[in-house]
Amino acid sequence: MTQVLPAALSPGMVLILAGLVAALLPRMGRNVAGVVGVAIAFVHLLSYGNAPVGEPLLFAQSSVMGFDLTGVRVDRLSFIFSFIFHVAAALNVIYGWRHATRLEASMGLIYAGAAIGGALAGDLLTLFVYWELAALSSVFIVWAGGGHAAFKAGMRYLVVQVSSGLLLMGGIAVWAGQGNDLAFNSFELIGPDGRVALAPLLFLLSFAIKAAFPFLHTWLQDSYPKASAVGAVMLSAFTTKLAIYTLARGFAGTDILIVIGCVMTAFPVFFALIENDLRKVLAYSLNNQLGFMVCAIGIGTPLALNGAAAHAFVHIIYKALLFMGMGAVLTRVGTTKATELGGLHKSMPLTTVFTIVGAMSISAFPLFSGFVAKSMITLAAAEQHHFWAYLALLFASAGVLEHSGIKIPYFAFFAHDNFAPSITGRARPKEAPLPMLIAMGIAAFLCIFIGVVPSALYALLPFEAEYTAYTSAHVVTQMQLLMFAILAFALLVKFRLYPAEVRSVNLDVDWFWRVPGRKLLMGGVVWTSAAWRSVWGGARTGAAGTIRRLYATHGPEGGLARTWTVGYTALTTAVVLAITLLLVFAAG
Amino acid sequence: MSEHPKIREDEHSVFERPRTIRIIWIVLIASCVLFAALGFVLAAMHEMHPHFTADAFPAFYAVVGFVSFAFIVLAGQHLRRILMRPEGYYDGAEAELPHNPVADDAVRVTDMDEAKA
Repeated sequence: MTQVLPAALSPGMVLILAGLVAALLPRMGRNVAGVVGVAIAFVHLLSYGNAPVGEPLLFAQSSVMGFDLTGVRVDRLSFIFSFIFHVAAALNVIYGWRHATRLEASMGLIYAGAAIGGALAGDLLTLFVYWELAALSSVFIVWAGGGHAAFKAGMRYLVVQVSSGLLLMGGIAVWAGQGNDLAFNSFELIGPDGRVALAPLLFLLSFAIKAAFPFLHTWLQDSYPKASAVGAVMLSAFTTKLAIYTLARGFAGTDILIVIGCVMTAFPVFFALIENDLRKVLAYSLNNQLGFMVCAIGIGTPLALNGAAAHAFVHIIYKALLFMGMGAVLTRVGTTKATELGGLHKSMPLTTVFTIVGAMSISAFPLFSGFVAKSMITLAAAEQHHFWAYLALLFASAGVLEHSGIKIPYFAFFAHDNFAPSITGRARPKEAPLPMLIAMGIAAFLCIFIGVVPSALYALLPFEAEYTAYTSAHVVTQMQLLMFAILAFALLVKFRLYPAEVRSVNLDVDWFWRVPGRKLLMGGVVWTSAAWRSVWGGARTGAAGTIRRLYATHGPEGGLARTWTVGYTALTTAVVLAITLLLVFAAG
Repeated sequence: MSEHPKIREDEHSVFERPRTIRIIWIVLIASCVLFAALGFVLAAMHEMHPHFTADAFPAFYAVVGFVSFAFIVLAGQHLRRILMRPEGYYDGAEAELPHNPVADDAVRVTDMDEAKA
């Protein structure tokens, strides 16, 4: 295919330009800019062609101050991530057709462009620029959620995201200082001397923040549910998956990631269970899904890495679909708290069906997209004989079914009917607006299409590895896991052992810096200001005393300024002369 | 969930009728039995390809699914005792105040667009 645009121009830049144009246009103009921008960027990406395995295509190569930069690198790993980022960007434009604010529409495109540019970056400095641009553009989407809570969450989000960028920059400085070139390839966390290497450690920490590793994850659950209906869908796709891409590129086969990934899949399951806000449940679920990918990257075999890429691909679609479903509920009802919802299938049947498609995809039912991707990761764990990782992934699969497969659709659309006119005295909420339905419909179609025709997805995968999703053993074992888990759910509800939803906030590790950490910081501020006041106050009192004393002797009323009589002056002169005479005599 | 107010009979959808719920139970249990049985059939045909000792048991995944799910729900809800706080715990009532120049501005601009359109 011939190039439609200069090869040196990253497709990400096309979307960033579209975003800048969109900022100046009225609603319909923004939508057109979005559609045209995504279409041109996508055709531009496709016109590079997918590179053969192991042979990257490099463009926009330059040398700045002795550093070799590569603005665009197309290989199979960057291609599949850029590809799915375009799909997500297109879904965002359609979903926000009538509801995205000017800021969201514009920043959404810039954010998508930054993620695509980052995935295609061939060197660390270019990656850094897009890495920070993604942080700066996305924080506006958090803020656009409106309200004081969103503003504060956005500030916390910004601090965390920029810290990640600083760590990346620090890593680059150390890396370049050790005489390495800036090409972004794989790193060895453990150096040849058996000790942890500093620069790769800084890179890993930087990626870990954006990939929401355990203890670094709370920015995600804090900010995403506070964005608007449209904003949360935009946020769900890019930052974390760009981080997954960088981990797959830089740290494939790093053993520690297996453990981290397993913890990441398992712990959010419990938080999702007790959470009331269904969009926050989805945020925990996102964390759990990232755990599967991180674990796969840690395993590091071609099958596992294909599994991570495939899982990121399908995950972006079904997670966006689930956020879209909850966004539609938010748009129509004004809340996504489980305590306030229920029975919506009666008046929002299409949203219900689409959300259930997303729920079945994320739960990895056969014939849905999650199945064809996740089964690669579990198989890779089994083939490498990581028994405990394998068990953790199975446990997490049951957990996914619990919070995303059952809890989301059950509490939003079924459970107890909170919208019956005989109770509320009002008409039921309407079905979701048409553009939202179209976006959800496309995403739901893709979930089923990939599930039924997995070869379409497998053709894009970065490494050569034989894999067949639909073997009788895969289908039967997965259906055993899912159906018996559903049976457990049905029994727990029947015997009233399933916990009711409660209006509440549940603490996470961010409590440590939001409550005692804040107190400590505020205490530090008070102490510093007190210390400053005593130092500065002391200096001022001392200076004022000196001035007062000087004034007392030298001032107009002071002792040295009084008028003297002639006789007194003559006497003083005579005394001074006499002393001088005596001194000269004594000295002589 | 009987603690919630009863809705009128004509407001029930097909999913809330006792008959449908009974059918769902039957389908659920039947498919559990089916897939557990299929596990044994495949194991007899040497089609299961276990990788460890544990998953050689033909209903291993059924047990893992059931036990994991039950454990998550039964154990997880006790986390509330430690972690649960009232709404507005972090930000208090101020969280409800519209105080965001960025979003407010964006909303105002959008409304003007729509007034023109």
